Amino acid sequence: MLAGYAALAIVIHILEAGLPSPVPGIKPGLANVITLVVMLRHGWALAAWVVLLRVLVSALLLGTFLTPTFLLSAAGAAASLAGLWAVSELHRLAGRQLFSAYGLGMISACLHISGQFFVAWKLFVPHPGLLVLLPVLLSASLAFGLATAWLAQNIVSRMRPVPLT
Amino acid sequence: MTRADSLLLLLLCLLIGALFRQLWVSGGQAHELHLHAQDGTQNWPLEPARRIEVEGPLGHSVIEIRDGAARFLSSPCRQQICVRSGWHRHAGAVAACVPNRISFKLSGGGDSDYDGLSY
Amino acid sequence: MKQALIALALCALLAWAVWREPVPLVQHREVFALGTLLQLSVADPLPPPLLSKVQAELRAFEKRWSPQGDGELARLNALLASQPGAPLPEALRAGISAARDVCLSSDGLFDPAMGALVQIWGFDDERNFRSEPPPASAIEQALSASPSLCAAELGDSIKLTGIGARLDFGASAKGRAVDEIIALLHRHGIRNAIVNAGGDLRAIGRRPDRAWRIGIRHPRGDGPRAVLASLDIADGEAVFSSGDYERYFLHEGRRYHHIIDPRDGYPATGSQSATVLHHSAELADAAATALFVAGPDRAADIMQRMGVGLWLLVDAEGGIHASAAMRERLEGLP
Repeated sequence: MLAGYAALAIVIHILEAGLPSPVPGIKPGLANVITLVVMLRHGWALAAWVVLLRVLVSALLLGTFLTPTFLLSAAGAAASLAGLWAVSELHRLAGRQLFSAYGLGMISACLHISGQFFVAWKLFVPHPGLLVLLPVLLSASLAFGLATAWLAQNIVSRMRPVPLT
Repeated sequence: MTRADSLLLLLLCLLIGALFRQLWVSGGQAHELHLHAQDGTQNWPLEPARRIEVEGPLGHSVIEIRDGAARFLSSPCRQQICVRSGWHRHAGAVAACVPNRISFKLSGGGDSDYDGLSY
Repeated sequence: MKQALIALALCALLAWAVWREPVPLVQHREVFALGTLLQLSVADPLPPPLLSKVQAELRAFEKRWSPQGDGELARLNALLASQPGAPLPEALRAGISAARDVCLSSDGLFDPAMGALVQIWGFDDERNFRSEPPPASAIEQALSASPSLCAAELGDSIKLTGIGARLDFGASAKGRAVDEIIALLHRHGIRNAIVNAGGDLRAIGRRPDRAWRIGIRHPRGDGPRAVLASLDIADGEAVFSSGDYERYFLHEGRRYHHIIDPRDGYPATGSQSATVLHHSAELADAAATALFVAGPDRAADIMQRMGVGLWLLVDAEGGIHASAAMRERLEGLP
């Protein structure tokens, strides 16, 4: 099952990588829909696996493994997963789901772009002028985060409930 | 959409707004000219181009504004130090015709690059 | 419901904090003084009475150190016109003594007893401003008739090697004034400010968000290329510049500026601008003049003699010379 989700995420990611983006650095991040679906149905641990596999295998297939692109991708994924982990812990402690798919979507998208930006800024383009891009990137990621969350929510509601075993 | 979601959305919007305000205010480039003469202070924007005539004890000084910068175009003083100081563009820049008791200062939307100039 | 209201209140508070007009970190005040526009930049609260005190102190200083008029120096000059010696007013003793020491350490390149020379070149007063050089004979006469301050004996009275001295501290008075104003501000609790007398400045403390940052004007630059280099200055540091690009006249294609070489009576050639960094504004002022007159060949030597470690010189061809320590401090130097 993990393999199935991972494969799906990888395919979506690679297809999206092939699409031109109007603004460099901004992609809808449709593969994140899979991450959210897995998180909502199976929890953080499995979602983390899916993300890890997606980042690694995509990089290998696209030939970007161990390049700066890979580093950015990994940084974004790491930040995003960290945020989702925090939320899952919060939910565990609170005993209920404070955030819905929309909250998860916003958190994971904004943290993803922030992680990428931070690495890009610190390692590749230390120019302070780069900072002016940050609010633009965050706005886009906020919007896309809500969009992918909407998709994830709709997919989850159409799936059969998770078996209890 | 839960209550927590809405709260998060609002906070993120505020954060992004704050970042825009903080980062997008152009540092350095001045937006406004404050002209001090004996009869008071005038404020002028640095766009569009214009010439301003001011009166002092020695006579008329003319300030020129063009392309977001300002200078003394002419002044009745003998040493012409004011005219020679040339175009001023940075937020915080000052220029003066001391004998004619006229000075101007540029202020900008953001932080000026320098707190003072040595010349 | 109560939670929602609290959340809303917090959001409103956050929104207000984010969107209100930022309080200026630094306040600026400009006054005409010392023959220029003096700018005070203060990062601490500046009460209006203190500004009035500053202006009063500046007026008193101008009167005291003006070579003509009816202040202490003017009256001393009147006496020295026909006598080699005269009693030294208390108010002038410290300043004249310091100037004499700087005269010596600058090997005579800074010499405030050359007031007669300054006067015939006409740069000391707007009304005397010239458009052509004074006749060579007048320069010769002014030069030979002026005893040097370096050789003066000081105490309760001043004794020079001849008559006709006209003391003019134009090359160091701004520095002294800036030191006095800084001290005045400090006495009144100001710890973070810059006093900038038309491009000659001294700072104390720092801005709330970073150190004070100063740009050094390029002697031939304008508009976007106006700044030669910049640096962050530390608590108490003064930055003084002497240049040929403010007070000058052009005659038959030659530039005659206000920094006269005491050795030959003519504007010093060899430099376009000189900048000195030091904790004493008075010394920085005199040193910037001496550095300008020294030119690239003698710069390092004279600066070392004067105890100045941080200096920058742009020579007549636009070449840049600076002490190693200064190069380290400067940013953006070509």
